[in-house]
Amino acid sequence: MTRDAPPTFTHVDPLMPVGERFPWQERIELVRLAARTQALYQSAVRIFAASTPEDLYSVVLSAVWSLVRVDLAALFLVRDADGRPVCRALRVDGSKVVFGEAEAPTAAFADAALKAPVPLTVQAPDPLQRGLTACLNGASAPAMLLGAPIRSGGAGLGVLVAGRRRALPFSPAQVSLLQGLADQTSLALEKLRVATAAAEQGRRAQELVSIASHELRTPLTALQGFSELLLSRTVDEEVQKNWISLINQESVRLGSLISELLDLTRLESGRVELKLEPVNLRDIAEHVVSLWRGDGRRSRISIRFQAGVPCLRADVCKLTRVLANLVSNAINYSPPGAPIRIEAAPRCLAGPSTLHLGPPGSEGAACPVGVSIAVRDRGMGISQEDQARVFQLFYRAASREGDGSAGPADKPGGAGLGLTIARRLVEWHGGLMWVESCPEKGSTFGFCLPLHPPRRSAWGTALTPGAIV
Amino acid sequence: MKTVLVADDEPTIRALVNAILDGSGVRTLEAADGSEALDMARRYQPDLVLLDVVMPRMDGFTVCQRMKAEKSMARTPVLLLTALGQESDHQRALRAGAEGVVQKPFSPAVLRATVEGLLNGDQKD
Repeated sequence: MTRDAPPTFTHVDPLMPVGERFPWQERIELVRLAARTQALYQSAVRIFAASTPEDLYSVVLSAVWSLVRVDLAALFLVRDADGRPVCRALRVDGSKVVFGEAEAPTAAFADAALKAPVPLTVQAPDPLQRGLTACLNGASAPAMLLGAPIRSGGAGLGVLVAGRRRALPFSPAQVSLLQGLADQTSLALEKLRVATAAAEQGRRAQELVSIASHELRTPLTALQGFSELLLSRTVDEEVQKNWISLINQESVRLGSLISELLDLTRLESGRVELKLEPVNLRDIAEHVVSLWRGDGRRSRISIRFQAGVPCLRADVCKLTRVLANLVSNAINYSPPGAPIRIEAAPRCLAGPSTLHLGPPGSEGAACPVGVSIAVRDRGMGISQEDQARVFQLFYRAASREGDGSAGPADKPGGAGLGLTIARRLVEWHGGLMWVESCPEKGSTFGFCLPLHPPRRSAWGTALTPGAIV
Repeated sequence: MKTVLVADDEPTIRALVNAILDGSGVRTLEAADGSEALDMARRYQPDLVLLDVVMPRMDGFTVCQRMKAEKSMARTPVLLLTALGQESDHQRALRAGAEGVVQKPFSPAVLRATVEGLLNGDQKD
Protein backbone atom coordinates (compact mmCIF):
# COMPACT_ATOMS: atom_id res chain seq x y z
CA MET A 1 0.00 0.00 0.00
CA THR A 2 1.43 3.37 -0.94
CA ARG A 3 1.54 6.14 1.60
CA ASP A 4 -1.39 8.03 0.13
CA ALA A 5 -3.65 5.05 -0.53
CA PRO A 6 -6.93 5.19 1.44
CA PRO A 7 -7.46 2.62 4.17
CA THR A 8 -9.48 -0.41 3.11
CA PHE A 9 -12.30 -1.80 5.17
CA THR A 10 -12.83 -5.39 4.20
CA HIS A 11 -16.12 -5.78 6.04
CA VAL A 12 -17.73 -3.16 3.79
CA ASP A 13 -19.31 -4.18 0.50
CA PRO A 14 -17.60 -1.99 -2.14
CA LEU A 15 -20.63 -2.18 -4.45
CA MET A 16 -22.89 -0.38 -1.94
CA PRO A 17 -23.57 3.29 -2.68
CA VAL A 18 -21.09 5.49 -0.81
CA GLY A 19 -23.73 7.03 1.42
CA GLU A 20 -24.93 3.62 2.55
CA ARG A 21 -21.59 1.94 3.18
CA PHE A 22 -21.37 2.98 6.85
CA PRO A 23 -24.00 3.88 9.38
CA TRP A 24 -23.59 7.58 10.30
CA GLN A 25 -22.16 6.83 13.76
CA GLU A 26 -19.37 4.81 12.17
CA ARG A 27 -18.71 7.57 9.69
CA ILE A 28 -18.35 10.10 12.46
CA GLU A 29 -16.08 7.69 14.28
CA LEU A 30 -13.96 7.26 11.14
CA VAL A 31 -13.66 11.00 10.72
CA ARG A 32 -12.60 11.30 14.37
CA LEU A 33 -10.11 8.45 13.97
CA ALA A 34 -8.62 10.14 10.93
CA ALA A 35 -8.39 13.44 12.81
CA ARG A 36 -6.73 11.75 15.81
CA THR A 37 -4.28 9.91 13.60
CA GLN A 38 -3.36 13.13 11.84
CA ALA A 39 -3.02 14.98 15.15
CA LEU A 40 -0.83 12.22 16.55
CA TYR A 41 1.29 12.29 13.41
CA GLN A 42 1.71 16.07 13.64
CA SER A 43 2.62 15.87 17.31
CA ALA A 44 5.16 13.16 16.51
CA VAL A 45 6.81 15.46 13.98
CA ARG A 46 7.07 18.25 16.55
CA ILE A 47 8.15 15.93 19.38
CA PHE A 48 10.97 14.40 17.35
CA ALA A 49 12.14 17.81 16.18
CA ALA A 50 12.74 18.92 19.80
CA SER A 51 16.44 19.50 20.35
CA THR A 52 16.53 20.21 24.08
CA PRO A 53 14.73 18.59 27.03
CA GLU A 54 12.77 21.80 27.76
CA ASP A 55 11.72 22.01 24.14
CA LEU A 56 10.56 18.41 24.22
CA TYR A 57 8.61 18.81 27.48
CA SER A 58 6.93 21.92 26.16
CA VAL A 59 5.90 20.29 22.87
CA VAL A 60 4.60 17.18 24.65
CA LEU A 61 2.48 19.16 27.11
CA SER A 62 1.09 21.36 24.31
CA ALA A 63 0.15 18.21 22.42
CA VAL A 64 -1.64 16.81 25.48
CA TRP A 65 -3.42 20.12 25.86
CA SER A 66 -4.67 20.27 22.32
CA LEU A 67 -5.42 16.57 21.76
CA VAL A 68 -6.98 15.43 25.02
CA ARG A 69 -8.64 18.69 26.16
CA VAL A 70 -7.49 18.97 29.74
CA ASP A 71 -7.00 21.59 32.47
CA LEU A 72 -3.68 20.20 33.68
CA ALA A 73 -0.83 18.44 31.90
CA ALA A 74 2.35 17.30 33.59
CA LEU A 75 5.41 15.32 32.59
CA PHE A 76 7.07 13.23 35.27
CA LEU A 77 10.44 11.58 34.77
CA VAL A 78 12.11 9.07 37.02
CA ARG A 79 14.88 10.59 39.17
CA ASP A 80 18.21 8.74 39.13
CA ALA A 81 18.87 8.94 42.83
CA ASP A 82 15.75 7.23 44.15
CA GLY A 83 13.83 5.98 41.11
CA ARG A 84 10.85 8.23 42.01
CA PRO A 85 9.00 10.17 39.32
CA VAL A 86 9.46 13.92 39.74
CA CYS A 87 7.64 16.62 37.82
CA ARG A 88 9.85 18.12 35.10
CA ALA A 89 7.23 20.25 33.38
CA LEU A 90 3.74 21.39 34.30
CA ARG A 91 1.00 23.29 32.52
CA VAL A 92 -2.15 24.39 34.34
CA ASP A 93 -5.18 26.17 32.88
CA GLY A 94 -3.53 27.14 29.63
CA SER A 95 -0.71 29.02 31.33
CA LYS A 96 2.90 28.67 30.17
CA VAL A 97 4.78 25.45 30.77
CA VAL A 98 6.72 25.57 34.04
CA PHE A 99 9.96 23.60 34.17
CA GLY A 100 11.74 22.33 37.20
CA GLU A 101 12.30 19.34 39.36
CA ALA A 102 9.68 19.32 42.03
CA GLU A 103 7.54 17.02 44.04
CA ALA A 104 4.60 18.36 42.09
CA PRO A 105 0.87 18.10 42.69
CA THR A 106 0.25 14.73 41.16
CA ALA A 107 3.42 13.01 42.37
CA ALA A 108 1.61 10.29 44.28
CA PHE A 109 -0.60 9.66 41.31
CA ALA A 110 2.39 9.62 38.95
CA ASP A 111 4.08 7.12 41.21
CA ALA A 112 1.05 4.82 41.00
CA ALA A 113 0.69 5.36 37.24
CA LEU A 114 4.34 4.45 36.70
CA LYS A 115 3.75 1.05 38.24
CA ALA A 116 0.41 0.43 36.54
CA PRO A 117 0.54 -1.86 33.50
CA VAL A 118 -1.98 0.27 31.55
CA PRO A 119 -2.91 3.99 31.62
CA LEU A 120 -4.31 4.73 35.05
CA THR A 121 -7.41 6.84 35.64
CA VAL A 122 -8.58 8.12 39.01
CA GLN A 123 -11.55 10.23 39.98
CA ALA A 124 -11.93 12.58 42.93
CA PRO A 125 -12.09 12.25 45.83
CA ASP A 126 -9.20 9.84 45.43
CA PRO A 127 -6.54 10.02 48.15
CA LEU A 128 -3.87 9.89 45.43
CA GLN A 129 -4.57 13.42 44.29
CA ARG A 130 -5.07 15.07 47.67
CA GLY A 131 -2.96 18.12 48.25
CA LEU A 132 -3.26 19.18 44.66
CA THR A 133 -5.18 22.35 45.50
CA ALA A 134 -2.31 23.83 47.49
CA CYS A 135 0.03 23.40 44.58
CA LEU A 136 -2.22 24.97 41.98
CA ASN A 137 -2.21 28.54 43.30
CA GLY A 138 -5.65 28.23 44.81
CA ALA A 139 -7.30 26.92 41.66
CA SER A 140 -9.52 23.92 42.17
CA ALA A 141 -7.88 20.54 41.87
CA PRO A 142 -8.61 18.24 38.95
CA ALA A 143 -11.48 15.89 39.55
CA MET A 144 -10.24 13.41 36.98
CA LEU A 145 -6.67 12.32 36.33
CA LEU A 146 -5.22 10.11 33.63
CA GLY A 147 -1.63 8.90 33.69
CA ALA A 148 0.07 7.13 30.79
CA PRO A 149 3.35 5.42 31.62
CA ILE A 150 6.41 6.31 29.51
CA ARG A 151 8.33 3.10 29.06
CA SER A 152 11.46 2.03 27.24
CA GLY A 153 11.93 -1.71 27.00
CA GLY A 154 10.68 -2.96 30.34
CA ALA A 155 11.86 0.09 32.28
CA GLY A 156 9.58 2.91 33.39
CA LEU A 157 11.05 6.28 32.40
CA GLY A 158 8.19 8.46 33.60
CA VAL A 159 4.51 9.31 33.35
CA LEU A 160 2.51 11.67 31.21
CA VAL A 161 -0.35 13.05 33.29
CA ALA A 162 -3.54 14.75 32.11
CA GLY A 163 -6.11 16.25 34.51
CA ARG A 164 -9.62 17.68 34.30
CA ARG A 165 -11.48 19.88 36.75
CA ARG A 166 -14.81 18.35 35.86
CA ALA A 167 -15.41 14.69 36.59
CA LEU A 168 -15.71 14.01 32.89
CA PRO A 169 -14.33 10.54 32.14
CA PHE A 170 -11.62 10.12 29.53
CA SER A 171 -12.87 8.24 26.48
CA PRO A 172 -11.01 5.12 25.30
CA ALA A 173 -9.84 7.19 22.31
CA GLN A 174 -8.39 9.87 24.61
CA VAL A 175 -6.68 7.23 26.73
CA SER A 176 -5.15 5.76 23.60
CA LEU A 177 -4.11 9.23 22.37
CA LEU A 178 -2.35 10.00 25.65
CA GLN A 179 -0.62 6.63 25.57
CA GLY A 180 0.43 7.36 21.98
CA LEU A 181 1.95 10.65 23.12
CA ALA A 182 3.68 8.86 26.02
CA ASP A 183 5.18 6.35 23.58
CA GLN A 184 6.38 9.15 21.31
CA THR A 185 7.89 10.87 24.35
CA SER A 186 9.75 7.70 25.24
CA LEU A 187 11.34 7.52 21.77
CA ALA A 188 12.15 11.24 21.79
CA LEU A 189 13.78 10.93 25.23
CA GLU A 190 15.89 8.08 23.90
CA LYS A 191 16.87 10.19 20.89
CA LEU A 192 17.87 13.09 23.18
CA ARG A 193 19.78 10.72 25.46
CA VAL A 194 21.81 9.38 22.56
CA ALA A 195 22.45 12.90 21.24
CA THR A 196 23.51 14.12 24.70
CA ALA A 197 25.81 11.13 25.19
CA ALA A 198 27.37 11.73 21.78
CA ALA A 199 27.89 15.43 22.52
CA GLU A 200 29.40 14.57 25.91
CA GLN A 201 31.71 12.03 24.29
CA GLY A 202 32.82 14.66 21.77
CA ARG A 203 33.42 17.19 24.54
CA ARG A 204 35.46 14.67 26.54
CA ALA A 205 37.50 13.73 23.48
CA GLN A 206 38.22 17.41 22.84
CA GLU A 207 39.19 17.92 26.46
CA LEU A 208 41.44 14.87 26.36
CA VAL A 209 43.21 16.10 23.22
CA SER A 210 43.67 19.56 24.70
CA ILE A 211 45.01 18.33 28.03
CA ALA A 212 47.13 15.64 26.39
CA SER A 213 48.74 18.18 24.09
CA HIS A 214 49.57 20.32 27.14
CA GLU A 215 51.00 17.38 29.05
CA LEU A 216 53.07 16.13 26.12
CA ARG A 217 54.67 19.54 25.64
CA THR A 218 56.15 19.59 29.14
CA PRO A 219 58.48 16.57 28.79
CA LEU A 220 59.16 17.62 25.18
CA THR A 221 60.32 21.01 26.44
CA ALA A 222 62.83 19.31 28.73
CA LEU A 223 64.01 16.95 25.96
CA GLN A 224 64.49 19.72 23.41
CA GLY A 225 65.93 22.19 25.91
CA PHE A 226 68.54 20.01 27.57
CA SER A 227 69.60 18.29 24.34
CA GLU A 228 70.11 21.67 22.61
CA LEU A 229 72.08 22.92 25.61
CA LEU A 230 74.28 19.81 25.46
CA LEU A 231 74.89 20.39 21.76
CA SER A 232 75.65 24.09 22.08
CA ARG A 233 77.61 24.33 25.32
CA THR A 234 80.66 22.76 26.87
CA VAL A 235 79.85 21.88 30.45
CA ASP A 236 81.65 19.82 33.06
CA GLU A 237 80.95 16.12 33.37
CA GLU A 238 78.73 16.36 36.43
CA VAL A 239 76.37 18.93 34.86
CA GLN A 240 76.35 16.89 31.66
CA LYS A 241 75.38 13.76 33.60
CA ASN A 242 72.62 15.63 35.42
CA TRP A 243 71.14 16.94 32.16
CA ILE A 244 71.29 13.51 30.51
CA SER A 245 69.58 12.00 33.52
CA LEU A 246 66.80 14.63 33.24
CA ILE A 247 66.44 13.83 29.54
CA ASN A 248 66.19 10.15 30.37
CA GLN A 249 63.65 10.79 33.13
CA GLU A 250 61.46 12.91 30.89
CA SER A 251 61.62 10.46 27.99
CA VAL A 252 60.49 7.65 30.30
CA ARG A 253 57.68 9.90 31.45
CA LEU A 254 56.76 10.70 27.86
CA GLY A 255 56.61 6.98 27.06
CA SER A 256 54.38 6.14 30.01
CA LEU A 257 52.21 9.18 29.25
CA ILE A 258 51.64 8.00 25.69
CA SER A 259 50.75 4.45 26.68
CA GLU A 260 48.42 5.66 29.43
CA LEU A 261 46.79 8.07 27.00
CA LEU A 262 46.16 5.20 24.61
CA ASP A 263 44.62 3.14 27.42
CA LEU A 264 42.43 6.01 28.44
CA THR A 265 41.32 6.65 24.86
CA ARG A 266 40.26 3.01 24.61
CA LEU A 267 38.30 3.31 27.85
CA GLU A 268 36.67 6.59 26.82
CA SER A 269 35.62 5.28 23.44
CA GLY A 270 34.20 2.11 24.94
CA ARG A 271 36.66 -0.19 23.18
CA VAL A 272 37.29 -2.25 26.27
CA GLU A 273 36.39 -5.86 26.73
CA LEU A 274 36.22 -7.40 30.15
CA LYS A 275 37.40 -11.00 30.27
CA LEU A 276 35.06 -12.08 33.00
CA GLU A 277 35.91 -15.04 35.17
CA PRO A 278 35.44 -16.03 38.82
CA VAL A 279 37.90 -13.94 40.81
CA ASN A 280 39.28 -14.45 44.28
CA LEU A 281 40.25 -11.00 45.54
CA ARG A 282 42.76 -12.41 48.00
CA ASP A 283 44.76 -13.94 45.13
CA ILE A 284 44.85 -10.55 43.43
CA ALA A 285 45.89 -8.78 46.65
CA GLU A 286 48.69 -11.31 47.27
CA HIS A 287 49.91 -10.97 43.69
CA VAL A 288 49.99 -7.17 43.99
CA VAL A 289 51.93 -7.36 47.28
CA SER A 290 54.44 -9.71 45.60
CA LEU A 291 55.19 -7.02 43.00
CA TRP A 292 56.91 -4.94 45.69
CA ARG A 293 58.50 -7.86 47.57
CA GLY A 294 62.26 -7.62 47.84
CA ASP A 295 62.22 -3.86 47.57
CA GLY A 296 63.80 -3.21 50.97
CA ARG A 297 63.16 0.55 51.03
CA ARG A 298 59.50 0.09 50.32
CA SER A 299 56.69 0.14 52.77
CA ARG A 300 55.35 -2.81 54.70
CA ILE A 301 52.21 -4.01 52.92
CA SER A 302 49.76 -6.19 54.81
CA ILE A 303 46.47 -7.79 53.79
CA ARG A 304 43.39 -7.94 56.00
CA PHE A 305 40.27 -9.58 54.63
CA GLN A 306 37.06 -9.69 56.63
CA ALA A 307 35.18 -12.98 56.81
CA GLY A 308 32.68 -13.67 54.08
CA VAL A 309 34.30 -11.81 51.17
CA PRO A 310 32.73 -13.64 48.24
CA CYS A 311 34.21 -14.53 44.86
CA LEU A 312 32.99 -12.28 42.07
CA ARG A 313 33.01 -12.22 38.30
CA ALA A 314 35.56 -9.74 37.01
CA ASP A 315 38.55 -9.23 34.74
CA VAL A 316 41.59 -10.40 36.74
CA CYS A 317 44.16 -8.36 34.77
CA LYS A 318 42.20 -5.15 35.02
CA LEU A 319 41.43 -5.53 38.74
CA THR A 320 45.11 -6.31 39.37
CA ARG A 321 46.04 -3.12 37.55
CA VAL A 322 43.57 -1.08 39.60
CA LEU A 323 44.84 -2.47 42.90
CA ALA A 324 48.49 -2.15 41.85
CA ASN A 325 47.87 1.50 40.98
CA LEU A 326 46.37 2.19 44.40
CA VAL A 327 49.23 0.40 46.19
CA SER A 328 51.81 2.19 44.04
CA ASN A 329 50.28 5.58 44.91
CA ALA A 330 50.17 4.63 48.60
CA ILE A 331 53.88 3.76 48.49
CA ASN A 332 54.85 6.87 46.55
CA TYR A 333 53.04 9.21 48.90
CA SER A 334 54.10 7.55 52.18
CA PRO A 335 57.40 7.76 54.04
CA PRO A 336 59.71 4.76 53.37
CA GLY A 337 58.78 1.79 55.54
CA ALA A 338 55.37 3.18 56.50
CA PRO A 339 52.65 0.54 56.83
CA ILE A 340 50.14 0.06 53.99
CA ARG A 341 47.13 -2.21 54.34
CA ILE A 342 44.94 -3.82 51.71
CA GLU A 343 41.50 -4.48 53.18
CA ALA A 344 38.46 -6.23 51.78
CA ALA A 345 34.93 -6.65 53.07
CA PRO A 346 31.59 -7.96 51.81
CA ARG A 347 30.16 -4.44 52.26
CA CYS A 348 31.17 -0.90 51.41
CA LEU A 349 34.19 0.26 53.41
CA ALA A 350 33.61 3.94 52.62
CA GLY A 351 32.00 6.36 55.03
CA PRO A 352 28.48 7.48 54.04
CA SER A 353 29.63 10.92 52.89
CA THR A 354 32.68 9.70 51.03
CA LEU A 355 30.91 8.56 47.90
CA HIS A 356 29.83 12.13 47.31
CA LEU A 357 33.46 13.22 47.41
CA GLY A 358 34.42 10.49 45.00
CA PRO A 359 34.62 10.51 41.26
CA PRO A 360 32.85 13.29 39.42
CA GLY A 361 29.49 12.14 38.17
CA SER A 362 29.02 9.58 40.92
CA GLU A 363 27.17 11.97 43.20
CA GLY A 364 24.15 10.30 44.58
CA ALA A 365 25.03 7.00 42.95
CA ALA A 366 24.16 3.91 44.91
CA CYS A 367 27.22 2.00 46.02
CA PRO A 368 27.24 -1.53 44.67
CA VAL A 369 27.35 -3.75 47.72
CA GLY A 370 28.92 -6.92 46.34
CA VAL A 371 32.40 -6.52 47.74
CA SER A 372 34.78 -3.69 48.46
CA ILE A 373 38.54 -3.41 48.65
CA ALA A 374 40.56 -0.51 50.03
CA VAL A 375 44.20 0.51 50.36
CA ARG A 376 45.06 2.46 53.53
CA ASP A 377 48.29 4.35 53.96
CA ARG A 378 49.78 6.67 56.58
CA GLY A 379 51.30 9.02 54.07
CA MET A 380 50.99 12.73 53.38
CA GLY A 381 47.21 12.63 52.91
CA ILE A 382 45.13 14.81 50.62
CA SER A 383 43.40 18.06 51.48
CA GLN A 384 39.62 18.21 51.39
CA GLU A 385 39.80 20.46 48.34
CA ASP A 386 42.05 18.09 46.42
CA GLN A 387 40.03 14.99 47.30
CA ALA A 388 37.40 16.15 44.84
CA ARG A 389 40.04 16.44 42.12
CA VAL A 390 42.15 13.31 42.55
CA PHE A 391 40.20 11.40 39.92
CA GLN A 392 40.43 14.17 37.35
CA LEU A 393 42.61 13.81 34.30
CA PHE A 394 46.28 14.59 34.88
CA TYR A 395 45.81 15.44 38.55
CA ARG A 396 49.02 15.01 40.51
CA ALA A 397 49.64 15.70 44.17
CA ALA A 398 51.31 19.07 44.55
CA SER A 399 54.23 18.01 46.71
CA ARG A 400 56.48 15.95 44.50
CA GLU A 401 59.84 17.46 45.15
CA GLY A 402 62.73 16.64 47.41
CA ASP A 403 61.43 18.95 50.09
CA GLY A 404 61.64 16.41 52.85
CA SER A 405 57.97 15.56 52.58
CA ALA A 406 56.67 12.17 51.64
CA GLY A 407 56.27 12.94 47.95
CA PRO A 408 57.93 10.70 45.38
CA ALA A 409 61.03 12.85 45.04
CA ASP A 410 63.31 10.21 43.65
CA LYS A 411 61.25 9.00 40.72
CA PRO A 412 59.76 10.60 37.66
CA GLY A 413 56.30 11.93 38.32
CA GLY A 414 53.48 9.79 36.99
CA ALA A 415 51.46 11.04 34.11
CA GLY A 416 48.53 11.79 36.41
CA LEU A 417 46.36 9.33 34.52
CA GLY A 418 46.70 6.23 36.70
CA LEU A 419 43.81 7.00 39.03
CA THR A 420 41.59 8.16 36.18
CA ILE A 421 42.23 4.88 34.37
CA ALA A 422 41.71 2.87 37.57
CA ARG A 423 38.41 4.62 38.21
CA ARG A 424 37.23 3.99 34.66
CA LEU A 425 38.16 0.29 34.94
CA VAL A 426 36.19 0.00 38.18
CA GLU A 427 33.23 1.74 36.54
CA TRP A 428 33.41 -0.70 33.65
CA HIS A 429 32.86 -3.42 36.23
CA GLY A 430 29.78 -1.54 37.45
CA GLY A 431 31.64 -0.37 40.54
CA LEU A 432 32.49 2.91 42.21
CA MET A 433 35.82 4.29 43.43
CA TRP A 434 36.20 6.59 46.44
CA VAL A 435 38.76 8.31 48.62
CA GLU A 436 38.95 9.24 52.29
CA SER A 437 41.90 11.23 53.51
CA CYS A 438 43.25 13.43 56.25
CA PRO A 439 46.26 15.64 55.50
CA GLU A 440 49.44 14.40 57.26
CA LYS A 441 47.62 11.32 58.55
CA GLY A 442 47.08 9.24 55.44
CA SER A 443 44.64 8.27 52.74
CA THR A 444 42.35 5.39 51.92
CA PHE A 445 41.46 4.70 48.31
CA GLY A 446 38.89 2.01 47.74
CA PHE A 447 36.36 0.64 45.35
CA CYS A 448 33.12 -1.30 45.58
CA LEU A 449 32.20 -3.89 42.98
CA PRO A 450 28.99 -5.78 42.26
CA LEU A 451 29.26 -9.57 42.20
CA HIS A 452 28.31 -9.56 38.52
CA PRO A 453 29.24 -6.66 36.22
CA PRO A 454 26.20 -5.22 34.46
CA ARG A 455 25.79 -5.48 30.71
CA ARG A 456 27.17 -2.36 29.09
CA SER A 457 26.18 -0.22 26.19
CA ALA A 458 28.90 1.02 23.87
CA TRP A 459 29.28 4.12 26.00
CA GLY A 460 30.29 3.26 29.56
CA THR A 461 27.80 4.02 32.24
CA ALA A 462 24.22 3.91 31.08
CA LEU A 463 22.52 7.26 31.21
CA THR A 464 19.05 7.45 32.63
CA PRO A 465 16.44 9.83 31.23
CA GLY A 466 16.83 12.24 34.15
CA ALA A 467 20.45 12.78 33.17
CA ILE A 468 19.55 14.71 30.07
CA VAL A 469 18.29 17.70 32.02
CA MET B 1 72.67 41.85 38.96
CA LYS B 2 69.18 41.45 37.50
CA THR B 3 66.75 39.04 39.15
CA VAL B 4 64.45 36.72 37.23
CA LEU B 5 61.60 34.87 38.94
CA VAL B 6 60.83 31.50 37.35
CA ALA B 7 57.42 30.04 38.24
CA ASP B 8 56.59 26.54 37.02
CA ASP B 9 55.16 23.56 38.89
CA GLU B 10 57.51 21.23 36.99
CA PRO B 11 60.92 21.11 38.70
CA THR B 12 62.50 19.90 35.44
CA ILE B 13 61.33 23.01 33.59
CA ARG B 14 62.64 25.26 36.37
CA ALA B 15 65.98 23.44 36.17
CA LEU B 16 65.99 23.91 32.39
CA VAL B 17 65.26 27.65 32.57
CA ASN B 18 67.98 27.99 35.23
CA ALA B 19 70.43 26.19 32.97
CA ILE B 20 69.47 28.35 29.98
CA LEU B 21 69.93 31.59 31.92
CA ASP B 22 73.13 30.38 33.57
CA GLY B 23 75.95 32.60 32.38
CA SER B 24 73.75 35.44 31.23
CA GLY B 25 74.45 37.44 34.34
CA VAL B 26 71.07 37.10 36.05
CA ARG B 27 70.08 35.72 39.42
CA THR B 28 67.07 33.34 39.36
CA LEU B 29 64.41 32.74 41.98
CA GLU B 30 62.00 29.80 41.81
CA ALA B 31 58.31 29.38 42.64
CA ALA B 32 56.42 26.09 42.35
CA ASP B 33 52.88 27.44 42.05
CA GLY B 34 50.99 30.60 41.12
CA SER B 35 50.32 31.75 44.64
CA GLU B 36 53.95 31.38 45.65
CA ALA B 37 54.97 33.24 42.48
CA LEU B 38 52.77 36.22 43.38
CA ASP B 39 54.12 36.29 46.95
CA MET B 40 57.72 36.14 45.76
CA ALA B 41 57.15 38.79 43.10
CA ARG B 42 55.80 41.11 45.82
CA ARG B 43 58.62 40.36 48.23
CA TYR B 44 61.66 40.34 45.92
CA GLN B 45 60.51 42.75 43.16
CA PRO B 46 62.30 40.84 40.37
CA ASP B 47 63.28 42.51 37.07
CA LEU B 48 61.43 39.88 35.04
CA VAL B 49 58.87 37.16 35.84
CA LEU B 50 58.61 33.96 33.81
CA LEU B 51 55.24 32.31 34.42
CA ASP B 52 53.98 28.89 33.43
CA VAL B 53 50.28 29.08 32.53
CA VAL B 54 48.92 25.90 34.12
CA MET B 55 50.02 25.88 37.75
CA PRO B 56 48.41 24.71 40.98
CA ARG B 57 46.65 27.22 43.26
CA MET B 58 46.71 30.07 40.72
CA ASP B 59 47.23 29.99 36.97
CA GLY B 60 49.75 32.16 35.16
CA PHE B 61 47.10 34.41 33.58
CA THR B 62 45.74 35.31 37.01
CA VAL B 63 49.20 35.89 38.51
CA CYS B 64 49.99 38.21 35.60
CA GLN B 65 46.72 40.13 35.99
CA ARG B 66 47.24 40.53 39.73
CA MET B 67 50.79 41.74 39.22
CA LYS B 68 49.72 44.29 36.64
CA ALA B 69 47.00 45.50 39.00
CA GLU B 70 49.46 46.24 41.80
CA LYS B 71 51.35 49.49 41.54
CA SER B 72 54.66 48.09 42.78
CA MET B 73 54.71 45.34 40.12
CA ALA B 74 52.72 46.87 37.28
CA ARG B 75 55.88 47.74 35.30
CA THR B 76 57.65 44.40 35.90
CA PRO B 77 57.76 42.60 32.54
CA VAL B 78 56.07 39.20 32.46
CA LEU B 79 56.86 36.39 30.03
CA LEU B 80 54.29 33.59 29.93
CA LEU B 81 55.50 30.08 29.09
CA THR B 82 52.51 28.26 27.67
CA ALA B 83 52.00 24.63 26.76
CA LEU B 84 48.38 25.16 25.82
CA GLY B 85 49.13 25.82 22.16
CA GLN B 86 45.92 27.60 21.19
CA GLU B 87 45.84 30.97 19.48
CA SER B 88 43.22 32.09 22.00
CA ASP B 89 45.66 31.36 24.84
CA HIS B 90 48.21 33.72 23.28
CA GLN B 91 45.57 36.41 23.03
CA ARG B 92 44.52 35.75 26.62
CA ALA B 93 48.13 36.09 27.76
CA LEU B 94 48.46 39.45 26.04
CA ARG B 95 45.12 40.60 27.42
CA ALA B 96 46.35 39.67 30.90
CA GLY B 97 49.10 42.21 30.33
CA ALA B 98 52.04 39.91 29.59
CA GLU B 99 54.92 41.47 27.65
CA GLY B 100 55.62 38.22 25.83
CA VAL B 101 54.53 34.63 25.28
CA VAL B 102 56.82 31.67 24.60
CA GLN B 103 55.30 28.41 23.41
CA LYS B 104 56.54 25.14 24.92
CA PRO B 105 58.58 23.32 23.74
CA PHE B 106 60.99 26.19 23.15
CA SER B 107 64.53 26.45 21.94
CA PRO B 108 66.95 27.58 24.70
CA ALA B 109 68.46 30.18 22.34
CA VAL B 110 65.01 31.71 21.70
CA LEU B 111 64.12 31.85 25.39
CA ARG B 112 67.46 33.38 26.30
CA ALA B 113 67.18 36.01 23.56
CA THR B 114 63.60 36.86 24.63
CA VAL B 115 64.59 37.16 28.29
CA GLU B 116 67.59 39.36 27.45
CA GLY B 117 65.43 41.50 25.18
CA LEU B 118 62.87 42.09 27.92
CA LEU B 119 65.54 42.81 30.53
CA ASN B 120 67.30 45.28 28.20
CA GLY B 121 64.01 46.93 27.25
CA ASP B 122 63.36 47.46 30.92
CA GLN B 123 66.85 48.99 31.24
CA LYS B 124 66.18 51.47 28.43
CA ASP B 125 63.13 52.81 30.27
